[in-house]
Amino acid sequence: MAVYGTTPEQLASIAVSTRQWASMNPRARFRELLTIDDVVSSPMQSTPLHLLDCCLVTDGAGAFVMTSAERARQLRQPPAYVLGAATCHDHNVISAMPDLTTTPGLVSGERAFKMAGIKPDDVDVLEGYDSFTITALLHLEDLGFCAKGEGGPFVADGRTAPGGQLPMNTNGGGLSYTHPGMYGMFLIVEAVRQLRGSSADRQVEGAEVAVAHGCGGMLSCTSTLVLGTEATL
Amino acid sequence: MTETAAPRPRRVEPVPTEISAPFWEATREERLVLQWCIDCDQPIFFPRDRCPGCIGSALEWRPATGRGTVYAVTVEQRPEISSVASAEPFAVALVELEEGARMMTNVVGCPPADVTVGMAVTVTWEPLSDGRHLPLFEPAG
Repeated sequence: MAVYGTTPEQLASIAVSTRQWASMNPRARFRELLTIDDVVSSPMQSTPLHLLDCCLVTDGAGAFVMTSAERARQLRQPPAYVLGAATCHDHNVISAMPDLTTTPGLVSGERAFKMAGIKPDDVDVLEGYDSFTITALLHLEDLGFCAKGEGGPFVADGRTAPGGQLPMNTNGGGLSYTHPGMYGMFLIVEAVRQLRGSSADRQVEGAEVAVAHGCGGMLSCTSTLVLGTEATL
Repeated sequence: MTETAAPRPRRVEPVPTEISAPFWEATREERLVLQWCIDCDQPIFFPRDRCPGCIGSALEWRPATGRGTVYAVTVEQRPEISSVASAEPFAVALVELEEGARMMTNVVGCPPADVTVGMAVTVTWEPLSDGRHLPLFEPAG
């Protein structure tokens, strides 16, 4: 905010868009639609983050089966294929983070996209870890969906909401769906569901390429996974 | 029996380790010292066994000026650990020391909402229960 002029309202728009997705997920913890004003008038936790800028604390569990592409083709469900994957670990404590506005996603994203042979424009669905609204905004910038510092305007017009150019956190995210701590599992599960066409009311039509992007520690470590349908092979 | 409850601690007091002991011993005299990698000529904070830059072990302690600037700040409204500090909002900051290392600390001596990125600060000392001090920062001059 100090460097790029990102506003609380721009951060809040991520929570608003994510809640729109949650409204279409019957499993989501919170499904009532929000306004920007709801978010910025919710109790301040630690400036500039309000209660509704923060993820939930819930129980939850998930699982997926990983096998060879050959074997997967013989199974009952249409498989999602791993097109690219990369992990980058940087600092441990936040005081050692070289630049608070740049995460290791800059590295893991570039490597995973390169392995998959895709560009940000090719991504139909993004599942990006949203511990806080700012976390999701940093992912958008570091993965190259917009330039560094332009995440605020990028999300402000509902670009990541249902019907938007870049559907993001289509299950309702950690902000509205669930957040049992180890949220990465839910990123992958939702990315696979979208590629299988099994996301029901929140299905993104024609989703062929999905990215699951997790972040752990104190913005310390990111893993980027590019998944695709059979058609992308 | 006249036993009374121990006073509620304002801090969870840091426990020194073998590696961080020189840092804490210096705080008894309200001196701020930093570990440096001799080979990289770079300061290291928090204290470590090896240089995080070159993994070398040629480290030494040097005095720090205690001057720095606020790199980032948040005003904490709801302390996660209820035994820490007061119920009043307080400023948690990353202070970039003149030497280049960053410390997570509190900026005190002004209303927390007045602490801004880029503000010049100097070290100030909060006594701990055993004669050591905790380095905090306050607006410079």
